[in-house]
Order: sequence, then C-alpha cells, then structure tokens
Amino acid sequence: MGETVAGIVANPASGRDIRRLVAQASVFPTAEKANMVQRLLAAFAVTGLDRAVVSTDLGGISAAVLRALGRGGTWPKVDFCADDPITGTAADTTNAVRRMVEAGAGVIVVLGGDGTARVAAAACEDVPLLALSTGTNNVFPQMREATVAGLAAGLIATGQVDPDLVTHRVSVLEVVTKARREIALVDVCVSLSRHIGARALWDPSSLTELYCTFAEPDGIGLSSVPGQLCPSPRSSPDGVALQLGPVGETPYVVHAPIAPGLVRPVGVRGWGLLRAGVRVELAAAGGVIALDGERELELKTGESAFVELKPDGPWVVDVRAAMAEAARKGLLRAETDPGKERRR
Amino acid sequence: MTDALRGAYRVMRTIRAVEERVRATGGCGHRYDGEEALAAGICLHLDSRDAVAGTRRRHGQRIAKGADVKAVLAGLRDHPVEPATLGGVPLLICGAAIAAKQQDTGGVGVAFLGDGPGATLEALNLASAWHLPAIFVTETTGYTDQAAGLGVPGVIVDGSDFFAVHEAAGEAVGRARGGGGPTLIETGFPRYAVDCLQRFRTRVTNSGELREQVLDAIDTEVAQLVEVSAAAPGPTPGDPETDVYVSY
Repeated sequence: MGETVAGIVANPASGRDIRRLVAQASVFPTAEKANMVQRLLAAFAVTGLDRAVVSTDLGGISAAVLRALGRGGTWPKVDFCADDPITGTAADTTNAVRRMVEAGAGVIVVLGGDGTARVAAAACEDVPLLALSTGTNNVFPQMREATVAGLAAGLIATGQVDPDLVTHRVSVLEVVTKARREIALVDVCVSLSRHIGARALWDPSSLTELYCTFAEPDGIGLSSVPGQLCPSPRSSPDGVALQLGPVGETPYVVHAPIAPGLVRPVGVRGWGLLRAGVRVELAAAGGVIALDGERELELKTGESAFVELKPDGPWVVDVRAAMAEAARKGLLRAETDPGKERRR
Repeated sequence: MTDALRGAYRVMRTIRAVEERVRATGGCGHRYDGEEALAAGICLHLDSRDAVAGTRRRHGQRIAKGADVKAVLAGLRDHPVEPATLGGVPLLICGAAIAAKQQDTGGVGVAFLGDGPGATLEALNLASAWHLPAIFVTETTGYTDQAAGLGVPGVIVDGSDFFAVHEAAGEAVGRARGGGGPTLIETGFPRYAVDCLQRFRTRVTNSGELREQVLDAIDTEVAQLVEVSAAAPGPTPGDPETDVYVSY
C-alpha cells in the first residue's frame, strides 16, 4: 500500500446560526473544534497513518492546530488545504473535500452539523465520510468522542480494517430546480417564505411539504415530525413524504422538537411512503426549499422543482463496527509474555 | 411587504449613490460599498426611540437610520476621512441602552463595531450583567465564543445578504425591546466580491415581488436626491454655534 491519507474538515461557522436567538441552541466553541482536530490527529498517529490533510479557515481552528503542530507531538504529517482562497462560505468545505479526494484520502472526517455534512457529501465521491457533530440540529453527524472516531478513521484509511465491512452507503434526497441540483441527507422541506433569509428553519407555520430519507422517533429537527407519526429506520430503502399545513386546518398535529429548546406544533395533512427512484414534483410553485433544515433554494414564481430519493449517496463509516473489527483482529492489542516479566 | 422592499432598496441605493458622489470628488476614505445591506437590514427595524453608533464607516449607517442626506454629504465634504471614535462605540451604546431601559421607552441601542474595537468585551459584559437592550454588530467573526461565555447569544450572518441581516436583526431587536437582553450579530463579508444591490434586485424580481422598472425608478429618484443634496449650501461659519448656547 502506498501513502495512507485521511482528511479532516472543520467548519468554523457551524453552531453559529440564528437558532442561538430564536431557540436555546448552544455555541460550539472554536477552541473545542480545534481540540477535536488534535484528538483525531493523535488517534491517526496510533494507527500508523502517513498524512492528514486538514481544512483551513479564518475562524481560528486551523491556526490553533498549526500552533499545536509547532509545539511538537506524535502526529502524522499534516498538510493544510492552502491552494484555494477562503471565501467564508460553504464553498470552503467543498474545496477542501475535493482536495482531500484528490490527495487520495481513505476517509474524510467532517466536523460540523447537518449542513456541513450535506456539503461534504456532495463532494466526497466514493471516499467514506465520518461526520462528527459540532452543529445545531444534528441528525446525520454523530455525537462521538473524536479520539475513538480518529482510531476508526485511521484504521480504515490505513487499510487495517476493510472499508467494505464497516462502511455503508446512505440514501440522499436529490432536489432539481431549473438551475440547480442539490442533495439533502435527512430532509427536504418546502416553505412559503419568499427568501432564504437567515437560512435556518424554525417557524413551522409556513411549511407545506416535507420529504425525509429516514425518520426516527428520537430525532431533532424536521424529521422528528414523521419520527412521531410514521417512523422510518435509516436501514429502510424508502423514505417518507408529508403534506403540512397550518395548525387548526390539518387532521394531525405533532409537537416536534424542531430546534434545541423549541418544541412546536406542526400541522400534518397526510403522509405516505417516498419510494426510492421515483421522481416527485413538488406541489409548490415558488417559495423556498430547505435542505437539512437550512433554506437553500429560492424558486422563481411559478418555477417547479423535483425531489427524488436516491440510494447512491455517500459512503459513511460505522465507528462501532470499525472498532469491533479492530477488536476482532486485535489491531489495538499487544500481547506481552508475563513469564518473561517474572523471569527478569 | 413590497413597500418595505422598496424602502430597503431606496436606502441601499442612497448609501451607494452618496458614496459614489463623494468618491468622485476625492473624498470618502473609509468605504461602505458592499455593506449597504448590513446598515439597511438592521436600521429598517429601528425608529426614533433607538440609537446607533458606528465606527469610521458610519455614513452608511446614518443614512439607513434616516439622517438627512444633505447633512451626511456636508459632513463627508468637510471630513473626507471620518474621525475615528472606535474604542468608545460599544460603551456609548450601553449608555443609550441604559437610558432606554430606565426610561422604559422600548428603545434599543445598536453598535456597529467594524472588527470589534476597544471596549467591546467590557461592553458585552456590561450589557449582559445589566440585561440591556443593546445589539452589537461586528463586521468580522470571532466574538461569538466570548459573547457566549458572557451570556450574550451570537449569530453569524452574511452581511451582504439583506434578507439574512434583516431577519436576524428583527429577532435581535424584538428580543431587546421585549426585555430579552443583548445580542451579538457577526457578519461575514465577501466584500468587494458580491454586489449586494444587484443580489437584492435579482431576488426580488425573481420572486415577483418587485419589477425592474420600479427599481430603476428608485435609482433615478435617488440620483436626483443626491444631486440636489450635493448642491445645497454647506455650513456657514456661524453654524457651529447653533444650538450650543442657551439664553436664560
């Protein structure tokens, strides 16, 4: 095997949107994001990874990692993505992920929320993603200790754990408008709002349609609505589709945790299965389409759009399975000879 | 809503036109082009109860808050580089917020801080401790961590996107007026890269809310206003004494 490489993307803007004002969402500190990167690098080193490619930002994460690098430490070689201008937008994540794919990364670890993971998923091609939560409404990224995630990622990137055994492909929702083609990892929602505004969705009264790849009863965000009405596990090839409306005009109301500290009644007119591979035309002609809880696409008046559940989304790492495989193969275990110790 | 959108565009276009006029005559050392959406998005939530204070780029904020264009132009003509009052701005706004709170006017104070000068952290601390109706607006990112530590919620928005700023500012002003305390708004800026006026035009015409002709008419109206204002006589030598002395 040639040089082994893993990527780390850390979004400086995750966990900073308007839900800090309209709800009680927490701020995920920059210093903690930088700590997580360092914990990942420390774990990579234990797995024998040759090189880590790390995103750069103007928020202080890569600067803190660079300072720590100067203090010395047992890390693999670290290269920062420095070839693209930093825009302060989602393009920074896209560019960094593309550089990591080009560098031959075996795994890309993404620190952010659902929004960051969505952008990374659109650019990572067949390289497995390991998304760790540093955002607000996190359904796709995992709340997991970065050290353990780093061990799992390093073992996969170095080929010690077979990625075929511990990664799986997830479904995505593809949204197609006249001018754009985007994906969502968890949900697509249509709002009567005219403009994207501050991006996050927190007012359910303007929502008309919701499509989810999966819906878990203990989820947060919009997928928690079907999670309480018509749960659909992540393992299911199909998703769910719901028609929403103002409370008082709908036969069903779900009290859904749509943001941290914000449990709101959401009116539901009806729901059904969203079959994989079937293209659905959105009922709305105009308004705004939100992807994974963030308003992203403004439709022109009368403009139509389509959504389709596709099974060929990104490959994602199952950390538990990777660590179980490491245990089965004894990859993090060393056996000593107790007799030799006694004879000394 | 279309009235509000027309008003927003008129404010942004006026800021741009005033600045272009002053730059054409060799003034305006501290540019505001590219940030019109920030001033408009915030100040359109404010009224006569409210106070704003800004750093060097404050001509845009003054116009957005409703200052007479003649006065802004005259000020820039006489002081092409606006005098810097950087360090004190956040504390000045705490003073305005204390007054509004004590007098129960429902007013708020808004500090436009640029990259966050001087006593910003002290002001955030004071505003948090006294639960002041104050809003701190920075044109850089990096304060949300500290603000969160002081108990002030912070939000990052694209400062060149009128709708993003307007929505976040609406929540912040509503919180402040309702006794919810201070807020930090951090604005990221792809400045000089995105023309926020053109972006606004495209979006409101795509959505069918305003027609191009309406926006063009505002352009013409603003150009005339700036011409007339620029031709207005400047201050006379006696003007500095106006409203200074009181006879008993």
